[in-house]
Amino acid sequence: MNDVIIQQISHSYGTTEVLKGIDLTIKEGEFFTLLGPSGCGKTTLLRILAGFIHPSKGRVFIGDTDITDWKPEKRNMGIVFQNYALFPNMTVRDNIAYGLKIRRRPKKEIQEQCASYMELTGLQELADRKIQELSGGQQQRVAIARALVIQPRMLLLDEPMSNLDVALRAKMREEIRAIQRKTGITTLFITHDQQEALSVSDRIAVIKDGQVLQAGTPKDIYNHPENGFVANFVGTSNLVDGPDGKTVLVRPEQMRLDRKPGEGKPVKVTDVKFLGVYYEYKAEADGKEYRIIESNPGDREEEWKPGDTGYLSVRYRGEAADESKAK
Amino acid sequence: MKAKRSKHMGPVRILWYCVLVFLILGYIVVPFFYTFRQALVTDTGYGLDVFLEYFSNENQLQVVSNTVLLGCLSVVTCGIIGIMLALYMTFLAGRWKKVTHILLLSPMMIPGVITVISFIQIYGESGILTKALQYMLRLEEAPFQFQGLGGILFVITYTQYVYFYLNVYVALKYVDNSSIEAARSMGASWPQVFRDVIWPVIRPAVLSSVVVTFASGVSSFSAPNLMGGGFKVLSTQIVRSKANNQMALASVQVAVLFVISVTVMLLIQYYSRRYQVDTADRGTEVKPLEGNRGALSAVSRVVVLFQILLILLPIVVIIYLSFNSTSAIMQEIFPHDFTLENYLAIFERPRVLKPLLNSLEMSLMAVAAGLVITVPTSWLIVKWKGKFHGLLRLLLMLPWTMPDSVVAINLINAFSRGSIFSFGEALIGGFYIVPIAYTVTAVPLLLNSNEVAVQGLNDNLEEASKSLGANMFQTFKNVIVPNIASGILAGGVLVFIRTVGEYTMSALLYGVYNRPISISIVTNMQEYHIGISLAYGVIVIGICYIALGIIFKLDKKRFM
Repeated sequence: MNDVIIQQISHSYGTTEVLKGIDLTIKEGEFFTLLGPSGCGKTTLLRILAGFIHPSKGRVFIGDTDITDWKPEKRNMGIVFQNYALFPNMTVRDNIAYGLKIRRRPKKEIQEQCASYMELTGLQELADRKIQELSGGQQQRVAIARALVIQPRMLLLDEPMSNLDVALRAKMREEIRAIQRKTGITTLFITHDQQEALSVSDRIAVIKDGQVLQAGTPKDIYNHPENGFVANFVGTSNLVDGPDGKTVLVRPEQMRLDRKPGEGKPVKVTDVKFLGVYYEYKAEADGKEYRIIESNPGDREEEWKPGDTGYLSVRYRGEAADESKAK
Repeated sequence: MKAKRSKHMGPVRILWYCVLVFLILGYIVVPFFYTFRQALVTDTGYGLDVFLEYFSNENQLQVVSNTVLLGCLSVVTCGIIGIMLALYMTFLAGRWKKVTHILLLSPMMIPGVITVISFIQIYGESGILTKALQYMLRLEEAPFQFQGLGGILFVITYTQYVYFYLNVYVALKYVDNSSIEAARSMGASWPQVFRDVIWPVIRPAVLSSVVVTFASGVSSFSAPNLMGGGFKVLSTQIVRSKANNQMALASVQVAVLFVISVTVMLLIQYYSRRYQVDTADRGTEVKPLEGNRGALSAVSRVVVLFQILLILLPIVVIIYLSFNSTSAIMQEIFPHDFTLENYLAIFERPRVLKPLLNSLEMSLMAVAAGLVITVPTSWLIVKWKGKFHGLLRLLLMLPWTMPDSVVAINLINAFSRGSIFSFGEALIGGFYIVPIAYTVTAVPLLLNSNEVAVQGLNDNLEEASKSLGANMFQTFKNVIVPNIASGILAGGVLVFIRTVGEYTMSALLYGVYNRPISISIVTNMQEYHIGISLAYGVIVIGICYIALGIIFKLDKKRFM
């Protein structure tokens, strides 16, 4: 097995501790995402895996091999940097071939490998272009091809989408995911965007202040957030009084707004937004605000208006998290 | 998040620090102290006698006040012209903008001494323009006197406005167009927009231009020396004292000149610290104004055209005259006996060609030595953490605060006898002292431009290369050098341009073996071989323009 095992990793810059005893296992072939706000330590963890930073404490293993003290150039990790870090003095082809040239592979092999990865990333036409002549999306493809062509143990993606516009982001993350599936490479992806994390990952670790708050599948993280920070960082949620007097977190789409009083709690609608795919309502009762999301059922007789009175109930409570754990 | 490297200090790094300390002590710090000691030598030991005598002499005080006056007036005239041109180029220039920009930068690229002699050929007592006016107006005497403070100031204004122009032009790119539009939409007039939106952004650039212009004004030598007449300044008096072998007096004059330029530098630096602007987030770039541009535009257009005429005229005239014989130049207002004799004289007679070769050789030596010293050093300073790096940088930048004549006198005081820093040789009178002086003044400039180049190199590139398996050497060769080479070479070419026609230090340090071209230009002029002098000038201008072309090619970003 070539799982990547991160064992009790801590790191400090001067007196600031940015990672506090991180334990994670990334399984072979898995698309694993570190999700967290900026400054949470996720990039530091990636740089420790890449070998640019030696952790203050803890070890990194690939399978049974301890790689903590290995130099970056010996680790065989493919990295896609946030700014891509393409060599501006080289063409697209030369950038991609660089790792193989360093490894002194035969010319023919270099040519074939480059061609095959340029095809994988859709860069065939651009082989002889200079880096400055490429668009952001194209540059990212070059960075991915350059990282993959060396057949790394692992692919490290450091917020690769942050320099792309919204439309391109969605497209590129699908592409990256498709390439990862095709190559089966173990991938660590770093992002602060929950949508991105949910849509591509096999598993996600939510990090805050240098600690893993929760690790699990996207469904786990979204449906069963273990604390308030996770619940609110990944999606939004309402605080609702639970059956046994405890406060619980409920997702807006798990709430229901009715016109007829049932078990629902009476609320006053304060805001109605139509967003195409769904409606988003805000409602108020006892000084608390609730958000409710309802999918668009098409035309209907009576629309909600601000000022209406409705009855709010929880449609699905699942194992909603205990607010007392929230940070 | 990126921490600088600092882990271990290898033997190579230690050795390099030792070399730097040796060079800094030997060629910057110790010579400087020699000069102060020299100034304190009296008949009976040490004392302030020479200083006291100096400051009780009214003539000497006049020289000091002349020098300060020249510095201040240079700032005023260069500031007005430079800022106006920068505003014009940013807000009003349309077609020909690029060409105009290059032309406006070009005076910086012609050695001062050549500018002065071509000015003399135009506006001097027997200059083309002077004679033509005298002839047309049928005057008994020349219509104007192109010498003294007025003449010097004219030359300085015309050559040194470039600092103001370039700095302000670059700073104006950081003015946010939306802020201008916002101010306009709230009813601000153009003068108000200038005061409230534009001025705060360009103020640091203006202040740093004041420093540079003042420094070059107080230390200017070519113009006061060749056309000063009765107007004496410190730099010319220093050379005279040295020629008369009054080294104590020269050292006192050097100390005074140094104190003047450093005081102003520190004052302005202190002052400008209060006005740091944050240019980190850049809004939309300012656009040239559209539509009705009014009278302002017409007036400024005339000023710019006039300025370009002033820039082109001396070049055209010196090229034209260099193809005429000396006798024709001296006898006719518009000589026209086209001949190649001046150039043939230079290229056919080794003795006449020698100064040109000397200058090329010495400049290239200075560039090479300067790069060898500054490339690894700037790399160390930018990319590695070191306790002493601040001090190291300060000492290497020290020559930047010294007028050229100060650097030269320091070296004379230190190396007229053998020294451990020259391995026992007396360097004065030898070949190497001139390239050494060029190198001392080149180091701050190169250090600065290398640092910019190294800083521009994203750390991720180095990391990307390593992650792809390259070791330090492969990374250096394939990624680092190719990406910083153009910036570093551009700095080297700039140093070459500034030293190939250097006059002040050369005049103080040259000997029989290394007479540089600037000295030959002046002596040929004074010995009435005017044609040869001008042909020398044209060759140097040609070399400088080729070099300028190389810079623009290498380092477009910085200048355009």
